[in-house]
Amino acid sequence: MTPLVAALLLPAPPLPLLVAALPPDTGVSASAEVRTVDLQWSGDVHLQLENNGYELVVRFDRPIADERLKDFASMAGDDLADLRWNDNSLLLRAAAGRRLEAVAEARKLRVRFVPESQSPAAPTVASPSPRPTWTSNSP
Amino acid sequence: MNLRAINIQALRKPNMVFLGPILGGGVLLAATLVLMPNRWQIADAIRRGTFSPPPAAIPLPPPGIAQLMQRFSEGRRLASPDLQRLMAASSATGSASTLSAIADALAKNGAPVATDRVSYDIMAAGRPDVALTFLESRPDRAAPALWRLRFDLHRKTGDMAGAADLLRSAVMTPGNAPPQDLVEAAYALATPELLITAAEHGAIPPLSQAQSLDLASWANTAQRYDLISRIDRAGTPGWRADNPWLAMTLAQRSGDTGSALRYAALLPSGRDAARESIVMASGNPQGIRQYLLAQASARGADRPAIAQRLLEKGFRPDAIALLRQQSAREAGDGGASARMLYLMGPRPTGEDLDWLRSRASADPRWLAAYIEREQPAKALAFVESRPAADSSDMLVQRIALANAARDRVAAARALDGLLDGRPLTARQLKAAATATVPADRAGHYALALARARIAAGQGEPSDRLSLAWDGWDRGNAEEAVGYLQGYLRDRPDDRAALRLMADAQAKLKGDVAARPWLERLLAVTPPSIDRADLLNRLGRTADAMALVEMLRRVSPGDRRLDIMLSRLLIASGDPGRARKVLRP
Repeated sequence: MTPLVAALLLPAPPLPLLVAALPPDTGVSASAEVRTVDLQWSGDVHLQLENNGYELVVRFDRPIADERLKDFASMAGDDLADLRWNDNSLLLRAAAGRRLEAVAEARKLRVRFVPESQSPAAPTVASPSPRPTWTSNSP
Repeated sequence: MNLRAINIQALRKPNMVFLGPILGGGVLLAATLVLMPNRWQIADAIRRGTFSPPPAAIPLPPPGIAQLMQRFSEGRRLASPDLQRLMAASSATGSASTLSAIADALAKNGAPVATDRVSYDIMAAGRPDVALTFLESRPDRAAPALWRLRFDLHRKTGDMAGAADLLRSAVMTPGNAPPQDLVEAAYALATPELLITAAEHGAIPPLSQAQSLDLASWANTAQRYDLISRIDRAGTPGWRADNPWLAMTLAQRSGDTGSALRYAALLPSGRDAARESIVMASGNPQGIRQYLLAQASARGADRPAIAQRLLEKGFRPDAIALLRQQSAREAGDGGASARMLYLMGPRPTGEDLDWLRSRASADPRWLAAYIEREQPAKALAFVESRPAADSSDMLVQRIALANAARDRVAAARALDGLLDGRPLTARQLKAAATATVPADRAGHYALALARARIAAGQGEPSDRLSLAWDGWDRGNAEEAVGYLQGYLRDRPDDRAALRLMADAQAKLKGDVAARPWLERLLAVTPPSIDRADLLNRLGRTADAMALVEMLRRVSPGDRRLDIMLSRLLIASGDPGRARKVLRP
């Protein structure tokens, strides 16, 4: 079969995995507040969650519009490190210093980004603790 | 026999019937003229002539048709030749009852006429209605040999209902009509299904294979699918061998997918298309699945297209499995691969993930596709086990995975590799900086990274300051001075750096070497305890005290200013006043 015919047989072009455009994960927590973001399906859906605290995988039997996922990503803002999905599953990761809590409520997925208890956030190499000022070097 | 021949001759030359007497009369007239007598001869002749018999030489002319009819209708007995003449002459004009009476008379004479022949003659004269009435009046009207004529006459007279009734009753009754006539009549009325009834009732022999096929074909066109089983019983199911397409179509219609497929296999061409349409129309999901999988296994099959069809029928795992086969021939960047990865989703399970792992093991081009879909901890372990695990790109990958897996020790391990002195690009350095390492070793890695950045020509000013402090903290004043020189070129007014420089210079070469840096520091230090401290270090104690006094007036309650002033008073040899300052 020619590629053209094959293309006609496909209702939609084969999509690459969709990845939301996210700000780079700077590793610096913007705030110490709990942030709650909802993802709402348009119809009845069965949601199956796998959450290890940092990474949440959701499997579903009804696709969700890309726009809703992009809105979700923009509302989650810096708390979200990664969000990828296809027509029957999604994966999201919390930014460093955040833990994930998630519940499925009817047609809705409710995700809470919770600051990790050990505060302030553990340093990364890029953000060494600031050097002391003159007082520490007073003779 | 002879009479009949003459009669026939007379019939053939009807002129002679009239010509004979005329010629005879002519001859008589001529003789009369030749033998013309005188007047009294004439009178005598007239007188005698009345009684003289006619000349024996002249024959009697035969009686006319009108005369015969006259006689016949008067009930007089006529000879068979006359009756036959009458019959022949009446076929165009006589009523059915007259014709029937003539026929009866002939039969009584022992010279019966054939009913069909007479009927045909009447019909040939353009009077089918009379022919039909005549026929129906005859005693042999129900003879099988006459059935066809009766049927045709009903149709010729426009009596279709009568023809149909005749046919319907004939197909139910064996022996009513010759089978061939029934067959032709059934087709003539466009009711071939009556032949099934005829065969069922024995009015015709069992349907032949050709007849069965023809009737099945007709039934299909007429959508009389109920007739098929009757055709099979009244004829033979063997017709299907002669037309597998029809057999297939009918089997499919009756929901017998198995049979439909069997006949599809007998088609001379288009078997595959037929098979497919049967399977798809069957609505049997497993049948459709098996069919599509079989198609996919054929040489040269368009697997991505078949995968899409499997997907649409709800067989997602099969669709993905098919795309896996196709993708194995690609390098992870073809259309089938992209579609497959999309369908697998961001976190595949089971077979799909195993497949990706084994691909990644065999072909580095699949590595990225695998590790971004695997749990970070497992992906990290996989990458660490690769032969190329310590390449710079892999180490960058390992840092990202370790961060995602919240594994600080693994991040530090990867960072150790990256910071082993190898040349690094700006991108790699940036990636290294994202590593989340154990808190107690963050400082160590910050410095190592600062050194690496400087070595790569990517150093930030703050890198040099950090390293200067580190050198100072380790007692290495020379190293501190080295980094600070670079730093102060970029940030000449950084007071902390100027102060550290002064301290390092003092340690290296003494207070004289520190003095220029302290002067520079003083120039950028606003009035403050800092500045007072600096004035004191430079030996300008009076200026220092004046500044502190000024600051105390501005901020009377600041205890630090009190302490500072008392220190300066002690240094200038006035401990008494110093004590007073400290006492509230």
